Amino acid sequence: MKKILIVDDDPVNIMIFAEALESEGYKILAATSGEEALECASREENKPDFVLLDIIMPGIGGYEVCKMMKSNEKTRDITVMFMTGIEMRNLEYIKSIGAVDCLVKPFDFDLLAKKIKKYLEPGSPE
Amino acid sequence: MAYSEEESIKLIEKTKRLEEENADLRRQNEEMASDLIGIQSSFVDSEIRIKRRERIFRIMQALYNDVMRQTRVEDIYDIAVRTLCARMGYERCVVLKSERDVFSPAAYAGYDNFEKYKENFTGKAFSNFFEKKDEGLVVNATNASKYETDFLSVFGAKYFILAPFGVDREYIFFIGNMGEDRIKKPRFSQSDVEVFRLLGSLIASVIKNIELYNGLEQKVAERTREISEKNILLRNEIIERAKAEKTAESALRIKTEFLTNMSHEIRTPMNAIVVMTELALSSNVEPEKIRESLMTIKSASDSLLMIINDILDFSKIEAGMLKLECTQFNLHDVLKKIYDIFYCKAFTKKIKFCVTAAHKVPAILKGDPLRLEQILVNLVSNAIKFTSEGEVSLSVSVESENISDDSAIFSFCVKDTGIGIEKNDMPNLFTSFHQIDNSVTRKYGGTGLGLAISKKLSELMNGEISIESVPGTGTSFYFKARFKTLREKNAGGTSGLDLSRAQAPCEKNSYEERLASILATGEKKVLIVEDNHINQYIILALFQDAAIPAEVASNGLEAVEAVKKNYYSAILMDIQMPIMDGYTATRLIRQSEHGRFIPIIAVTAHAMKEELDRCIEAGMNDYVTKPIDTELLFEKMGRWMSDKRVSRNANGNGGVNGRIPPDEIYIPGIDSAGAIARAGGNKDVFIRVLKNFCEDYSETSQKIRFMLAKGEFEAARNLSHSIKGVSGNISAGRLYIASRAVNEILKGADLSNMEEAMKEFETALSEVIKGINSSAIFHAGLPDKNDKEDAEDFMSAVARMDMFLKNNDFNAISYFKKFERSAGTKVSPAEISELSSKLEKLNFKGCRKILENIARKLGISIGVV
Repeated sequence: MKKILIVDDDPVNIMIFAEALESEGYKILAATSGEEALECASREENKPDFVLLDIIMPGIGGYEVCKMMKSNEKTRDITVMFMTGIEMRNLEYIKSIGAVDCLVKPFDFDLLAKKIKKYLEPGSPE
Repeated sequence: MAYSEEESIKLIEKTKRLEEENADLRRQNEEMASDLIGIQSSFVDSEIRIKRRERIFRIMQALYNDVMRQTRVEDIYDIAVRTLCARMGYERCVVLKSERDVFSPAAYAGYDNFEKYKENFTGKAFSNFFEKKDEGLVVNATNASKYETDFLSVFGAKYFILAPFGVDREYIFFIGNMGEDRIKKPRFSQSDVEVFRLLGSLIASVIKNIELYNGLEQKVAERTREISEKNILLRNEIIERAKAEKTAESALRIKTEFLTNMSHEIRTPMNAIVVMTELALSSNVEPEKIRESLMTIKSASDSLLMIINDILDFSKIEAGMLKLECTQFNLHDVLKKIYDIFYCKAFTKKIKFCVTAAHKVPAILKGDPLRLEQILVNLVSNAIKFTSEGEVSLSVSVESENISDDSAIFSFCVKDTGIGIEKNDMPNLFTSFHQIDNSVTRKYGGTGLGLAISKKLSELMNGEISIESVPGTGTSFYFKARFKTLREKNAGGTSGLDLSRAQAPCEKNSYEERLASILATGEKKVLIVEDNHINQYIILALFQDAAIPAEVASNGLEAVEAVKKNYYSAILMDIQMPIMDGYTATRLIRQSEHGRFIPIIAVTAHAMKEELDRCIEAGMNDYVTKPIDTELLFEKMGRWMSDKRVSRNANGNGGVNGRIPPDEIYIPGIDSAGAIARAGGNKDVFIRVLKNFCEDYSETSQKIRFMLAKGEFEAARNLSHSIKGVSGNISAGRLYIASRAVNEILKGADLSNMEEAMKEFETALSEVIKGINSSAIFHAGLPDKNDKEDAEDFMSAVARMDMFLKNNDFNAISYFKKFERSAGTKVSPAEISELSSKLEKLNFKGCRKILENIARKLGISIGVV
């Protein structure tokens, strides 16, 4: 069972996707801050395969979290996808720091599920 | 030896000749010697002259160097005469300047008292000399003409030299005026004249240069001035442009930030709405889930609406569409309103909130009370938002009074002990769209328009808002504005206002009291305030259908009186009523001891935002519109009577509007909704807790009486203390207050009120026990397990829960219900409720701490499994 870590300082945002993604057959981990996300990602057991990462958070922001994960041997292989309420995101930058994509809120769940599937199971038909 | 005569004569002649030759030679010699002397002396003479010339040359050179550095003609003359006196041995020197044959001294040296001679140098006296003497003139007293002697006597001099110089020979002369001989050569010769002329031409050329230079300089200066003027203009323009650019840039940046912020603020709730709607619409979803989705959608919509209102308000001001009213109003009413709006919020944040007005502050003013209120609401709400402990105060004073036009400048100060504001951030505070930073926005929310709106409003009132702040210590906002004052006819001044004593929610006792009043739900009914009989009947019927006890008051005043006598679980408040309207009644109820926390829901005919705002501002919690939508009414009541979670979870159990059937929920003496909330929303836990309570405490009053009779006061006190705690947990308000009263008496020495307190305690306790025993809720019965099985189950539940929490595993949420069931009565409802609320916020670490505590108390070790 693939594990998805959802990181957002607003727990409601996590709740929104968690249950729906659970029903898609993923195991969901949750973190409400960048610090917690890093801690969670660096655990050997229960390491997430995919991180859905909010950009703007108090404390360590999403971009920082991504950079730190990508610079750490143990967490480098985790797929990172951003989600944000800010329209003005820079996909080029996002890719340059090692993330695969960015979804702008509000997005519907189908799109999210599709994207996750695409990145987690590259061979699967879209 | 003998010589012949001839020989003798020859010899004599020879001798003569030799003698003559000798004399000649001597003469020649003498001549030569004298020649030599002459040559020698002329050689010495010319050597002296050469030396003197060298010296003059050196002095001239030094003088020239000196003079070259001067920029003023006067200074050059001065240096020239001084040099002549000091270095070349002339006793006195004067430079004369002529202007159309009229002379005047321009510089002098060597005089002790020049004023005495000044007259003599002035006028036309010299002109006779100068007309013809182009090459200068030396006059010595010994060879002077009569005219010259007269002239010398005028100056008390024996010699003088006049030397003209100057380009056009039109104005300047030297006079070397020798009174006493101070140099070795007493007589002046033509060579002295030459020295003077040389000096003169030197000076003339320097002066000419200076004039040329000055002329040039003037031109250059003019040109420079022109250029620099243009430069300044240019520079100013550049600065202006840079400023404008910067302003535009920062305005753009602020707008971009604002849009980013807004984008975030709007999109986040929009996201919830979109996704939750999608989930709710998808097929085969349980009704409970749909309800949950709708709750999320509702709260997201509410926050969206708030943001939109802010933006619209701001646009209105920006567009100049906002006009201020000028009506008579009572300042105290405004202040009380502010107090009413915020005390609840302050109370729940456990910060002290007080509103005060000094004694002399006039109360009856003219102005726009609503806008004043809006400013104050904004400042106070910010203060409370950014303060996590301590206090927030609003105080009003009069800064200055103008008796002639009956106006005064009022100073409103909103002071907090919050996070404070950095100095750098202060100027930006009032800028539209500005918030200190993103993370603040994220932590505290909001649009960043509030202060901008307040500032614009204060400007419309000709007032100002200023700020003082120490980061980490607190902030004071001052709002100053002039209002017309109306003196009350019954003189004697205005009494002040102090809304802090009335409340002081942070003091421990009053906090407990308030808690008690929340819990005091013994015979809770809903109060319906409605003047129309048909409406009364309809609403009463609604509640009867739902088996919720209710009572009617026919107007606001009746409602206020009723609240003083009874506890109500909620009040439905009509707005327009005879005798006393709903707003006033609400305000009065909010000020009363029992009424502070009762949920008040307005029933209004108008869905106008202004009216709804007024309801909220008057202190009501919510509103429904006529005709009443029953479901909405019950939902709102459910929301305000207990916490959100309860109504959600409780609704899953079916019954009226998805709630626990009222015949089950209604237990006399217990606020079952509150108790279930404490039990983490789990009905089973709630039932277990009540069952345990009956077993453990039904005999408490007899026990206490027995202890008292035996003089075991400490035991009695302990028992009263524990029943106080438990009754609080099961939300038995009346019993809580009664047991606390008993406990308080037992803490003191005076037992005179004991009997009365015990009687109330007995009544309250038996009400609760009877209520529990007679409640239908227990007839369903519970599956009883044996204790051992129970304990094992729970141990593994704790371990499992802990593992989920440790791993940030979202399964913790769904597992919580199982955990709760397995916990039964082993975990206090308070702990369960705390766990649940932390879990809802996905605060896994916080949950773990609580879980560790629970495990420790029960002797379970975590982490083994």
